[in-house]
Amino acid sequence: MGGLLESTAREVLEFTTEAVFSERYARKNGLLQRADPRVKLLSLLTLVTVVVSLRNIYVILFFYTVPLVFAFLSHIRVSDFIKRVWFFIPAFTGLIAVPSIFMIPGRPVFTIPFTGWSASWEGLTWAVLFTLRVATAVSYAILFTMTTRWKDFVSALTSLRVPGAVITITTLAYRYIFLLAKLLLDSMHARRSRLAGDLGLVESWKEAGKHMGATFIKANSLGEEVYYAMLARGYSNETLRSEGLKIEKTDYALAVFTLILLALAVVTTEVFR
Amino acid sequence: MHIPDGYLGPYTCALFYIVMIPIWYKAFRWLKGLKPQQVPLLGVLTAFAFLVMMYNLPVPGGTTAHIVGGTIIAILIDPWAATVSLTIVLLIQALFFGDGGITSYAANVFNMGVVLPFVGYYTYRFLTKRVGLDEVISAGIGAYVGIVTAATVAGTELGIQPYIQPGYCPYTLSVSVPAMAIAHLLTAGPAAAVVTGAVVWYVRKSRPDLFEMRKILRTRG
Repeated sequence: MGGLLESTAREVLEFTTEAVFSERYARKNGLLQRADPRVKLLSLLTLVTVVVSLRNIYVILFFYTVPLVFAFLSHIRVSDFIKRVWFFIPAFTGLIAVPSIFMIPGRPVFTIPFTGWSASWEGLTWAVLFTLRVATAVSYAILFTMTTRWKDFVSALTSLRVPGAVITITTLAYRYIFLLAKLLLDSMHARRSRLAGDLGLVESWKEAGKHMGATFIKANSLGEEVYYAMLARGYSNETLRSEGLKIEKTDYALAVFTLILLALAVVTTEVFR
Repeated sequence: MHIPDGYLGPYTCALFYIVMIPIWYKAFRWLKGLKPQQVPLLGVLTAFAFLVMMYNLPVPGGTTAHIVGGTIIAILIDPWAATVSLTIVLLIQALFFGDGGITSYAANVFNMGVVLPFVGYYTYRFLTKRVGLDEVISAGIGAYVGIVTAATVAGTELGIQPYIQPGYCPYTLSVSVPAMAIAHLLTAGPAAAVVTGAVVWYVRKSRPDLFEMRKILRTRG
């Protein structure tokens, strides 16, 4: 069990470093990387809301292809993009979608031998529609993340009038996730090197609690040090204003495209009602 | 417990954004009352909350579950600190990790950033102050009650969908509430109880002064 704890902490550390903090794709000079983060954020919120409201499978399929095209235009390897989106889908979505294939009554398609469970056409259609809609909404969010640098996201939040203290906390949290994860992993390795054999279930929970307790204490001492380091660099309880953000042609085009998709969703919803 | 996009209908999502506005306002008022040096501390503790949530624990049945850590922060600092931290943690998770939806963001904050820490904290307080139970045991019970209540609320949100806006979560309350509650009663709940109890025990043993943080935070500068 101790091994499992270490491997999950290591996975978190590796994933956060590789997928999020490296900003590998966000640094490229693609279409969406050039767009203003405020426009991108507002487009994201609009489009995810639109996708969640869709009820026709063909329309959802069309909306699913849009982020794929934009990923390509933003110099993101489409296979990487699809992998990142579908990495999050199976567990919880499958849990809800799969039983519905058998629970929603309708025209029978196949029966699982010896169980008497019969899959219905209506159930299958619903499961596909539901999974595709979740994947489409996640695609827009992941596309935003992969094409936006953290500092641009923070600038967007600042210009959207999010309170300064919230911005400071968000920025510090983002920076210190990596450091705290490393401290946590180090303490786990130190503890593991003094252990013989595997821990039982409850023991492994207690062990996790002690590691978290130690990390909490370290986080506390770190918090104060961070403040004095910030003061030394001239911090005066104010967050930096968003500078250098300028709406350009690409941003107008993106805003218009978002509105076209919104209008398309409204029209198709009426047509397929 | 992270509800993704597409599980809750637009009406429910909009309702939770409306419900969260006064709660976020109150949390922001609490934040404004902090001393300047306490704001960076809350930033680092938000990173801590993020890590706690990413920490998968082995549970019976051979799978893993994660705890939320809202009760830990509520007990060691303040329930409003937990609301602020989890609001930010869930935003980073939704946008940068695809964990939890954007339309369902407010509902997720309500479940994990409001219901869970407040129920956990007040259960802990009731047990320590009124019943006179040990802090470690009370913290464990608080975390258990908090996570199970939050899961039941999430189950209710999912289960009302067929009645108010069909086409989203297809299961009615009779399926969704037991499914969410039982999973947390038997797996994540016990894990949250033991881990939270162990954190409180460790902090009390190693740095008893940190137990006074709540009082220190209330001394506005």
